[in-house]
Amino acid sequence: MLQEDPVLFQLYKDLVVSQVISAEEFWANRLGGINNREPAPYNNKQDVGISGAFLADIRPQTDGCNGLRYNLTADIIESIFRTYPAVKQKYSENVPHNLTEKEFWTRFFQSHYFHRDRTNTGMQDIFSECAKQDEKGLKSLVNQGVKNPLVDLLSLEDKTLDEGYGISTAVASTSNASKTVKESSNSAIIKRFNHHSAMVLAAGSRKGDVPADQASETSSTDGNSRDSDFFQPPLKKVKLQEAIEYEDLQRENKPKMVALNLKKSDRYAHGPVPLQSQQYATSQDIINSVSYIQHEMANYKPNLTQVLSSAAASSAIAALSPGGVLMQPVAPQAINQMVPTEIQGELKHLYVAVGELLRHFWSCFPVNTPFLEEKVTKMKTNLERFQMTKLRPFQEKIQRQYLSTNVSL
Amino acid sequence: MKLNIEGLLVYFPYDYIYPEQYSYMLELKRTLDAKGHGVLEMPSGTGKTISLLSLIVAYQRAFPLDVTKLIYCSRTVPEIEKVVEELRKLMEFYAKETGEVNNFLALALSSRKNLCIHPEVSSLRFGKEVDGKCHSLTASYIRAQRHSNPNLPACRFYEEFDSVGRQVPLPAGIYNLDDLKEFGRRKGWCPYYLARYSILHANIVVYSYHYLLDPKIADLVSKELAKKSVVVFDEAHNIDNVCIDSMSVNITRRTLDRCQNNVDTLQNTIHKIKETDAAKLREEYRRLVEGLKEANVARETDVYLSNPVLPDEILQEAVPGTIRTAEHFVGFLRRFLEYLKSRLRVQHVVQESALQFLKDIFDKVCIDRKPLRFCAERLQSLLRTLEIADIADFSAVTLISNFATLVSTYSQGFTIIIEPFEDRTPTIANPVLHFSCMDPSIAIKPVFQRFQSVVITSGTLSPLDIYPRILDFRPVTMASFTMTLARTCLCPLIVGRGNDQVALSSKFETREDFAVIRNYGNLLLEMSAIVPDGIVAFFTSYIYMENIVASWYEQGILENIQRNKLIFIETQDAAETSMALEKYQEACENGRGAILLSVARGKVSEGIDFVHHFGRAVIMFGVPYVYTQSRILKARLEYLRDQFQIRENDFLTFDAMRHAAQCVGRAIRGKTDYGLMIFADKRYARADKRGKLPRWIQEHISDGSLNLTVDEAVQLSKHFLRQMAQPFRQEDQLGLSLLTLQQLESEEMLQKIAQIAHQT
Repeated sequence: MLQEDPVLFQLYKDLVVSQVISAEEFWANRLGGINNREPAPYNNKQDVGISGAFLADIRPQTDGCNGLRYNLTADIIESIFRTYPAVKQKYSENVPHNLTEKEFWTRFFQSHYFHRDRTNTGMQDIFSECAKQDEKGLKSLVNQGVKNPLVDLLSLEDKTLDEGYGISTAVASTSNASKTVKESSNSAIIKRFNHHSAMVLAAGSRKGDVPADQASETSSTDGNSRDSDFFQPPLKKVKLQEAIEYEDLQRENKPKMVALNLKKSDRYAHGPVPLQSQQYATSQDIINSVSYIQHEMANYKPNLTQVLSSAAASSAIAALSPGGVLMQPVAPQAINQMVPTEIQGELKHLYVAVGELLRHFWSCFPVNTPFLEEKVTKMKTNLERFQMTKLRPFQEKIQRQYLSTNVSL
Repeated sequence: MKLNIEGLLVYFPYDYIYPEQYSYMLELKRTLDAKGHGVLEMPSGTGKTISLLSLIVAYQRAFPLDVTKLIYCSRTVPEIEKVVEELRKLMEFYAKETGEVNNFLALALSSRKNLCIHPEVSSLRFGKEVDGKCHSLTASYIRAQRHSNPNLPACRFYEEFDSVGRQVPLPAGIYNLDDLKEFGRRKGWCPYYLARYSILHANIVVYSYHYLLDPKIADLVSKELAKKSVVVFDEAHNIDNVCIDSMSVNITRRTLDRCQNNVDTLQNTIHKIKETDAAKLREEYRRLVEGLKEANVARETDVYLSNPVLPDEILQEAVPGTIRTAEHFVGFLRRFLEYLKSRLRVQHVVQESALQFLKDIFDKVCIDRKPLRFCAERLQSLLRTLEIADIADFSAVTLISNFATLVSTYSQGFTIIIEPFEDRTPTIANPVLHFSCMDPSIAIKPVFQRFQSVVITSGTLSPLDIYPRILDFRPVTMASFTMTLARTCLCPLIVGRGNDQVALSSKFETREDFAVIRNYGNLLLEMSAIVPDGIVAFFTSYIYMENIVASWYEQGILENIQRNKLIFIETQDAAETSMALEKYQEACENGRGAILLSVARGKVSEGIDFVHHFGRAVIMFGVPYVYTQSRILKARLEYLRDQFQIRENDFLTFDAMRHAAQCVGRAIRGKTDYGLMIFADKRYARADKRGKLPRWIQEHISDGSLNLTVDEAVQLSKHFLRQMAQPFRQEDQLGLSLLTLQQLESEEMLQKIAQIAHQT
């Protein structure tokens, strides 16, 4: 946060580094302000998601002599790491001790991991472990189950019959064994897409909900399903209510909002159309008008005697000649031109710092708790100290340098 | 609002109503008045459920003696819960309007897996295990054993319910699955048995099809439901398959091996018991001689699966002498098992009727038809006598005995097919015996006969007239409703050609054609660039999807699509698919946009809705014909032709189109929703296919959009999406597709409404 905001950084330096107030106090007040009053734009900066096709964007280029070149940018690497934490782990394990960065990425693209549709033949490469980890990750995702009961296909059917009953046979279980290589590679692709999309999605919203996920996992593993039973209903209720709601059958009771009123909705529907030049001028028109202007210019005769009365003209000349009204010596220069920019900057910082301290100070009023009382006295000493350590030196410095100007604080 | 439906006061829990809802209620009321059956097709997402519930509840209140109970059957657990929530909404409205708390009792019933609150049992993952474990704790003989040995584990919830719960009826109210569990926890009663017990006096019961259609379950659960009930099958477009499913059996070699083990265990147990407690076996024998099956009324917890045949087929006589003693019966089972094993050893495909099978079994191992018919009944009696705790272990022998009973009971409408190997892998022996029901009317007939009104309804039931034919019943009303729209919020397009004029089709000859696959890829790519949020694409089969995905991958099409949206793909593993689905929704939710590749007839296409931004476009790649080379299907087609005069092609097209309509219909819910429906196959343009789409989709297909190229489709879609993205307010709809009470009562509107229902 300090890096993002130079003003804040300076303030921090002024107040905390010089030990006017403690860092906690500084942040406590600062953050409170951000969260409550002024939603500062830098704090709720949105995380950039990951493009679903970032792997596709890495286009291999042939370099002419039987080789492929991949162009990796920092962005892509970041995406890969965020989507596949396993790769990141490998990276931190191997680079730079075992491999150079370049070698690492070369291996990555050569690996079966990248081309996962080819069925894994068990060749030794460092990414085979990643594949296994992914498999595990997918499994654990699956085992976690879904939170929304309306999409849980497992509990959709309300039938507890054995496999032997019914038309549809238990073929699925037997056919797994007899799958051809092609079929299993196809299903690997499908799995991979599901996993990839899930990971991309998760990478976009990863932070924050990780501990919650773990918690839910542990609660589901200890087999205490009554717990989950107690937690489940609210979500389920909400989902069910959502599902049976007919919004247009109900009388509207939400606040009226101003509806967007389009005069010509078809224009909106077709989007902006680039203006075509022939709509207002053909080339013939242009030629005509140019020649007309030329003609006009040629015939232009300034009619100067009519412009100004002689009396007005002479008074204007008098005003502009030396000694005239408009030729007075220049007024005192603006202060910002006299004072060098460093001093200005310093003054600004001091001003901001004092403002911050005063804010702390005034925020203690009305003093109705002992804590606030204590703070008030503390702030007072703070202010005094600030005057001593910062303001005095500054004042003296200015007095030394600019005796002519009357600086008093 | 309060409506007047031909003299009936109906409370409708919303301030506005769609015209088609009103029309739907009219038709429904006529059905109930006539005490007959009805087939009603209403566009998906137009509030079918709430209209249905509003009317039937009003009817129940007005004529409590004519309609005593509503039995609402739906397909999936989430659907069931949704219905109950809508009902709750309705009842809250009633309470608010009338100011009195009415004494309606409505509840959902599901399997033990969804209702059990026993800490150990409910933590089991599979329904089968839960059932088995529950049985091992609650069966009457096990509870009897506990009297002598109190250390045996018990289910305190069931004990509590059994001692107290039965006397006190469930207080009136609306109970969803979670409410039942909550209530059970509070009282310490078993919610499952409480629900099963309470459905007898509940006003409304919501449960899944199987509880009514599968005789094995229906006999246990729904046997005593009153005749004056109204039965509703919602999402009934697939009801024939459910019926067939409930009467069919498959036997593999593995089943037989497990069955062999079961029989051995039975034998051993009999020996043991004979040494210790021979009286018990003698007692059973005596009971069987007298045919006093009824005398020993099975306690509700004892029976795991009831007799697989329909109640009116069960013989009311004593078990024949040849299988009366336990040893004889086990011997009988052994012989039967050996016979089945020998049949599975065939090298070529065999197809025969039930009668041929019976004759063959008599010739080979001298098993008569009559003892076979009692097989299921006899096995149950034996398992009870032997006091088997873990009944789930005996599923294989139960299956075999069920098969024996079925095959000897029904001579018509069933076929036996023995396949020594799968068609795709002729070298690997994997013999399967299919005992397949071909006539859906067999399973549903008792329902039609027993209950006074049965309503079959769904978003996609076209063509309507085929359902009464294949289910063999006479409806008093058949109607298809259209969707009144203030703006056409659905845009069906038929893409028949690629940009290079190659005809797009998933038909067998062009399946592997590279040009077609590439053009399909192009279509998806272009759509992924213009459609916001979610796109769902359906393929005709899983293998087809795998192949296409593989070649798209090789051609780099998928990489390009990934630039626009994330890709999720349905797999054959349900858990994995659930995960993909949830991630898909997450991606739609956070604005990244995603594509879900899925399979028609798959689980996703049947059970998941893609409302609003979860599905702005549905693309149907190809016509989802069922795999026509399957022998079971062929046999069924033949049967349909011979019995019901339905031509094979008609049925296949009907079946394909209902699945296609199901897939695309998933995207629309309500009139504020909108979605593209892209049919990417030139065969959709033909009249025989198009004509089988539901009317509410058909009427929006213009002649101009019958054979579009990919580019043209993209242009039309762009235009459509931009228009739909405009703000759509209630005022825009009001008076056209959304009515207030005053508007509804105007003469002119009533005339218009009369046209919505399309009688056939």
